[in-house]
Amino acid sequence: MKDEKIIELFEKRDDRAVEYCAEKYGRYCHSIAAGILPSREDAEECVNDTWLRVWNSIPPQKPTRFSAFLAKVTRNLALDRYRAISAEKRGGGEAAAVFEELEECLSGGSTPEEELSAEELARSVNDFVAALPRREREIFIMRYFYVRPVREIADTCGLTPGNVSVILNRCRKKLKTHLETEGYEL
Amino acid sequence: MKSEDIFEAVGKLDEELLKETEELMLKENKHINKKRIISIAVAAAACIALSVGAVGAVRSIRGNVPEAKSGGEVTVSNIDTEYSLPGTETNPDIYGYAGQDKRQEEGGITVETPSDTPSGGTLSETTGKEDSYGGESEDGGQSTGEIPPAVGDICRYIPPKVKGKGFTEAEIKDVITRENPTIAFSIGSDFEVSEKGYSHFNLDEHWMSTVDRDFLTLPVYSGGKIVGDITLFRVEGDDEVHSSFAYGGGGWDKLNSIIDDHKGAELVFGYYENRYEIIIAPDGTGYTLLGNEKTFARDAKDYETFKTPYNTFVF
Repeated sequence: MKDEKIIELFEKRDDRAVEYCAEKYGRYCHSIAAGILPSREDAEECVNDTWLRVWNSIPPQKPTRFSAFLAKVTRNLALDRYRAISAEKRGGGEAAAVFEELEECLSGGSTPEEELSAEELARSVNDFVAALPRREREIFIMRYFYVRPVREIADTCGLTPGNVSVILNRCRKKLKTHLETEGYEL
Repeated sequence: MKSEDIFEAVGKLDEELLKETEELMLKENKHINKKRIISIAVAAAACIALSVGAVGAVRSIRGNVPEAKSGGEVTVSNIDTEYSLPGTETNPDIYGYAGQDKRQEEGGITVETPSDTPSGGTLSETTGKEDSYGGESEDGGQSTGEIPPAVGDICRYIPPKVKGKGFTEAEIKDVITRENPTIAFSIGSDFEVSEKGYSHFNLDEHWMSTVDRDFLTLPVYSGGKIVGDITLFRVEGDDEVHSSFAYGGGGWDKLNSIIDDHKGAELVFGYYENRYEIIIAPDGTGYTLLGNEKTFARDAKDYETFKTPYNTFVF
C-alpha cells in the first residue's frame, strides 16, 4: 500500500492504518529499535509505542516522507526507553557503544553551554552532517542515526570494518571541531 | 553536554539527509538478499540433486524459492510488502526470535519461504513500486523470511583453496609501526599488537571456500583483552601492503569470551558469505560475533575441512 494511502487512513481515524503500517514498516522500525535497545521485548514494546505515537500525531501532522518520519519516532521512543533502562542498569548493546564513541566529541564536565537549546544543537549537527562528503555522511548517519553495527556498515558500503572505524573516527573529530567553532564548550 | 544530547540532535536530522542513506541501505539490502536467495536456491538444489538424484526433488525446492529466469536474473515477487533495513532483522537467530519467518524442510535442508507467499507457489509477479520499498528494479524485491543456512546445513564442503603469497615479518613490522599512532589515538597508549596473525577462510555464495593469505588479521590487545585488530591486505595485482585498523563497535567482548573458553585450542577463523565472521572450535561448534551461537559445523569433520595452516590461531 502506498504511503499516502496509509497516511490517509490515519487521517480518517481508520484502525486499518496501524495494521497496514505495521505490515509495511514493522521490520524497519523493529530494526531501528533493536539497534538501540538491549532486548527483543523492549524493541517490540517500542515499536508498539511507535504505532500509538503515530496514531496520535497524524493528524495534525502530515509527514512528507513517511519512512523517515517513522524512523525518527521509533528512534526517539527507543532513546527514551533506553534511558529508562539505563537508569535501571539494564543498558548495553550497540547504543552503549555509540554513546561511548560520541563521548569523544566532548571533553567532559558541565558548562553553562549545556543550557543551550536542544534545537540549536540539532541545527548545528544538521549543518555539520550536511557539509560532510557524501560517503562520510552516509556512514555517519548509518552509525549515529540508524545505530547500525560497524561490520554491517562495512558490508553495506563495501569497505572493511577498519576503514569504517577510521572514517567514523575522523567524523567525530570533525564534529568536535565544528561544535567548538560554533561556540560549544565541550 | 552528554553524548546522548548529540545522539538526540542527530535524531533531528533533516529528512532529506536521511533519504540518500536510507536508499543506500535498502538498495544494499536487496542486493544481499538477492544473493542469499540465489545461494540458497543453488546450494539446496545442488544438494538434493547430489544426494537424491531426483529431478522431482529439485523442482520441489525450486517451487519454494524465486524462479530463476533465463539470463540468470531472479524475479522476486510478492515477497516484499515490508520495509526493512539490512542485516540483522532478517536473521531470527541474531535477535533470538522467529518473527513471521517461515521455513520449510525439504530433504533435510532448510529453505526459507517468504512469509506472505503460499508454500510451493511460483513467484513471477512483482508487487509494484510502493510495496517493494525500493521501487521497481531489476533486482526485484527482497525476501523477508530467509535466513542463511549454517555452514554444516547444506552439504559437505570442498577444503579451502589457498591463494596469496602472505606477508614477510618485515612487512608485518612495518605495518605495526605505521598503525601505531592511529591505535594510540584510538585506544590510548597501553596496547600491544600481535606480530602473529591469521587469515580467514571465506565461504562464498557458491559455497566454495578460499583462504586468501593476502589478508592477514593481527589481534590488538589492551589490558589482556583483544580490543581491535589490524588487517593487512594486498589488492590483487599490486605488491603494496595496505592495512586497516578496526576497533569499537560490538563483537570484541564476544570474541574475548570465545577465546577465554578455548584457551590453547586451535580456532579456525572464517567469513560467511562476506557477511559475518565465524569461528569454529575443535569440537565443531561455530560461533559468530553477533551474539548468536550456532553449530555451524555439525561435527568436528567440518572443523578439519576448513582448517589450513593459515586460518587458524591459538590464543
